[in-house]
Amino acid sequence: MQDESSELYSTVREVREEKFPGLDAKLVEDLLSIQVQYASDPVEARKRTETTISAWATDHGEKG
Amino acid sequence: MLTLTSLTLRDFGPYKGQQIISFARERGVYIAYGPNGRGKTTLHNAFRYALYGEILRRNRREQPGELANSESSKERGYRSFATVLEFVSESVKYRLTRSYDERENPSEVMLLERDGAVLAQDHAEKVVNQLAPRSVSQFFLFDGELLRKYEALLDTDSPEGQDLEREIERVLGIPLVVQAREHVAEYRKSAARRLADIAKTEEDTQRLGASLQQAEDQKASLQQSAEEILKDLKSAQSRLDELEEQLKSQQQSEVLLDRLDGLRQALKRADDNQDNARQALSELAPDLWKLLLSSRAAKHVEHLASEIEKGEADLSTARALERDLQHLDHQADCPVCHRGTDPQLREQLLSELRDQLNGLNSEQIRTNLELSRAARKKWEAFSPMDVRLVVDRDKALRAYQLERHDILEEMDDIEAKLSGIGEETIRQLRTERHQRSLQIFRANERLQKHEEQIKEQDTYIQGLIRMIGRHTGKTDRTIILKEQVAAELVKLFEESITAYRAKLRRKVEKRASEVFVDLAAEPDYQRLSITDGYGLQILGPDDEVITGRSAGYEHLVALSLIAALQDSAAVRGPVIMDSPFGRLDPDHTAHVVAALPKLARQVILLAFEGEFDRQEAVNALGPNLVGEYTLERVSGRHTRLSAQRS
Repeated sequence: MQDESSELYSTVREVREEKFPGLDAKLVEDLLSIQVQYASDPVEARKRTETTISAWATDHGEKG
Repeated sequence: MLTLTSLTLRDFGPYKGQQIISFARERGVYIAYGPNGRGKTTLHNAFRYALYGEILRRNRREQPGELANSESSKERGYRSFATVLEFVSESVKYRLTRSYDERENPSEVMLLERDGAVLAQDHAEKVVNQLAPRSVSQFFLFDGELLRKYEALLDTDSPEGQDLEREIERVLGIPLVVQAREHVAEYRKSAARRLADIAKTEEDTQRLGASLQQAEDQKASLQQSAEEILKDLKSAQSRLDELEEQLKSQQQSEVLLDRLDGLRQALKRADDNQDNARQALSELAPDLWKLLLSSRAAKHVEHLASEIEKGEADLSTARALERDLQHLDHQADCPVCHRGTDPQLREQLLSELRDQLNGLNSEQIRTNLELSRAARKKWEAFSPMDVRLVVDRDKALRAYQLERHDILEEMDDIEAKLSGIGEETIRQLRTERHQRSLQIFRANERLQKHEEQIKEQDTYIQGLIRMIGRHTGKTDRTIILKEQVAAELVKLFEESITAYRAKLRRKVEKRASEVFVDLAAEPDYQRLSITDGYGLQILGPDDEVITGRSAGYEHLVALSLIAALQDSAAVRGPVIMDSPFGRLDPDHTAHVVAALPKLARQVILLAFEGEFDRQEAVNALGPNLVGEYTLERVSGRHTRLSAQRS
């Protein structure tokens, strides 16, 4: 799914830049990578999604 | 990207012993020719079995032994077979072995080697599914039958079309974003609830916490309700589609009813014509016996005509003799030249005239003549003219009878068709269609309202969270951040799905159009246009949609879609087709054969001899034709794969 992934990333990147510039680009790409990597294991994908956002929020909450 | 290297069969179906089909190059066309019953479909199924351990339309898990070659099984005394598929993906070599031996437990074994190292069973299954997902196998492993499934998608939003649409979106990667949105939405919800719980424990934020919890509950309820509306909407739409289909046949019934009315009038006319013709013929009935004598009558008439002619000639002669005698009795000159006559000569003339007149009895001649004329008149009543009249009238009667028979036959046919669907049924269908349309309209309105309410609820929730944020400590701020970032991510993914879907549609449309132009023989068909459901419409020179396209063209559009989807990594690799030309004419078949290299990097075509011109295919494919095999009969249960070019 390499090609689809890169096209998917670029589309989400474009939408983020245009409409959600305040959203952390790396966080968005990390979440997409989780979906690509665990496409056949949605339970694991959800678990990792939660962990990633929590870690990001904790990190940025502390900074803020 | 998956590239086949070889497929080895051991005692698989009619392929007795070990037989190998090699794919020497990563790009090109391979064709296996074989007559019906020689094992083309089994060879196609061998690829499916080698990849997934299953055969279409048969439950292999219950009776896998049926796949074993019966001659070998008999010779050995037990049933066993194996397939070995060798392929390369991203420069890594794979060897996938599936074997069956009824003496072993388990009898079916799968073994995947990656660069020579054997992978664990669970991991092996996952790797195969990643490299060639079973769910999208219909886009690279198909036959003519499966191609028809695509036609449902290309024409309507049928249930099959909806399934296919989902599969296409899966191939294109859309579920990844959908799943990302769902996971983040769940996370946001749980963060909001946790925040509400914490806020409720603090005096300052107790009321806000309760409001937040209530707002979240309302939002969840609205979402659940929206899902139910959507479910009802889909079900109503599906029923409406069924009703439309049934009413389509009703439209045909109306046409049939009109035709039936026309036929009933025609039958009445044919009945009248038949009665008149029968009457006309029956008028001749009293004299029909005369037909028996017609031949004899003709001879009599002919004979009497000659008698009358002779009698008339004799009578004329007798009259002339009487006139001459009377002249000579009273005049001295010759009755012919009126010159004076010698007395001796005159006596001699008188004597001869009297002798001649004695031989002709004019009274008798006159009587005979009258009798002959009367007889001729009598026999002429049986003349051939009367026969023709009878024949003509009989012919007319038969023609009307035949016309009537044809009308009745067509009426029977129409009545049989109409008997399947009654007037009452049609009325019920129309009423239900109206009700369902109304239901869909109202459901859409409710859904729209719910979506607006969910958005309002979201805004309200964000407002509550901001208010809670003003009163909370560091831990709570982290939870607020979690909720807020998740809410933003949900919106981002929501909009990305729409944008990504549009982008992929344009990509599929462009690629499918390029392939379609090569496949189609009709120069006026300029390009394809994609619909929301991935249906492909043919556009003409002025971009008008071509309607009423043929089954053959549906086939070409389906092949174009498959070629376009080959641009997606999930299905990129070989295309293995079993007799896909069923509904194409020779001209279009030749076009498709020539365009095979454009369908996929590796194309494996299983065809029967005569399905297309082999030499033309060789010429059209040129160096793109890498391998040719024939399926040769050794015995009824033994086929040999023979390489003609590899």
